[in-house]
Amino acid sequence: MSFSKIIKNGIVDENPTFRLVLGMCPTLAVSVAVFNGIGMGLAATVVLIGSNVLVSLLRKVIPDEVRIPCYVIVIAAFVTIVDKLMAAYIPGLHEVLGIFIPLIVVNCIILGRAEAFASKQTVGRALADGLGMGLGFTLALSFLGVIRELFGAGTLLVAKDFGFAGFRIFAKEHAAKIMALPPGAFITLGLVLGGLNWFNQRKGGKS
Amino acid sequence: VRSYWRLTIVLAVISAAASGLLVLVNSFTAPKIFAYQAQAEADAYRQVLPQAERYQSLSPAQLAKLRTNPETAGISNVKAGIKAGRPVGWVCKVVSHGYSSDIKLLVGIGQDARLTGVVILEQSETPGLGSEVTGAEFIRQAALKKADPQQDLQVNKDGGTVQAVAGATISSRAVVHGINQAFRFFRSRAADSGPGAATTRK
Repeated sequence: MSFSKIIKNGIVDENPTFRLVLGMCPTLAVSVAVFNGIGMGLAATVVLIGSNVLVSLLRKVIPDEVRIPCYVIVIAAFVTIVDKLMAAYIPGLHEVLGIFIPLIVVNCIILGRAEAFASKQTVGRALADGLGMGLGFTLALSFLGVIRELFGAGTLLVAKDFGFAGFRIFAKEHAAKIMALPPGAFITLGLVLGGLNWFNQRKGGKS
Repeated sequence: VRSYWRLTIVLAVISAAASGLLVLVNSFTAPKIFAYQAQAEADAYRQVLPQAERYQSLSPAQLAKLRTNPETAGISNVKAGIKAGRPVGWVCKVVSHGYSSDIKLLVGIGQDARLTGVVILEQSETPGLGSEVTGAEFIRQAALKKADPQQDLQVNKDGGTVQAVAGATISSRAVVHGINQAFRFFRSRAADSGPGAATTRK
């Protein structure tokens, strides 16, 4: 598999959210708004690339029997270091993304890719997989965010922390708050997953 | 038997390396993070009580007394705002339990018994829901601007005047609870020793 294929695999064929159905906890929590999805997705992408590369580098050193605790230590240490460095050198960005970073430690996409891909592949391929999976996660979160923000708040792309007021599509009074609440997350995710499966089956049937 | 040793050693080495790196990173980032937080807090004090020129903490004994009183137990620090040697108000730093985190906020109360400002310093409420309590729509609403520190506030769901963030009553209630503790401090202050008590230690 070429690098571009590995990246495409993460975004489309094995999209972590829509195809592997991994990392559901942050997905359901964060997809309230498009900007949250982008923020969480990009932060997770950086961590995925870093942890994938580290795990791939250490794959020959780590014995099979203790690989999971080793991955957990590597990932947790990496995330904490990124968190500290961001807080010290780019405090503005850290204030915006800060809430997502502790969520990433428990995001099972990270451990999932370390186990399923990075521990068996070269560093370059592991990096490509981290990038693809991260972008796939970002796109999926943003897509869910568009639906939930539009119907739940009547706005799109509100990013208060960056001073961007976003676009108001319709009045707040007409928005269905349930879409911004946990039930809305399940409803949206369920419908999108079902829709994608239906689309794929139809496409498969034709060819 | 040899392989068991290998497992232990590899795991121990990785743990030690990770801890070592964390210590190293922490050693040079911690002072920077602390300085940034101190700066942000100083800015926040100016924001909630703009009329003051400088801020002076209450004595540790006074703070300990507040903490042991269940009515004001969430207050972690109080600073008197001083202008030209005279007190113009107080800023209370309060910690209040929200839905998923401890909400840290600053509450400014003027000497003239007016709520001069509220700033949320720290919170990890649900993004997009509870986190909305930091927004101007909630924190600068009319009911808060004209609040009277002589009376506790309540959110609309509890029969009060403060408009809670839709879908985030618990987070909104926590902020209101924090403001109320500052109000209670203000009232106890007035009852204890009358206005101007904060200038007694110079």
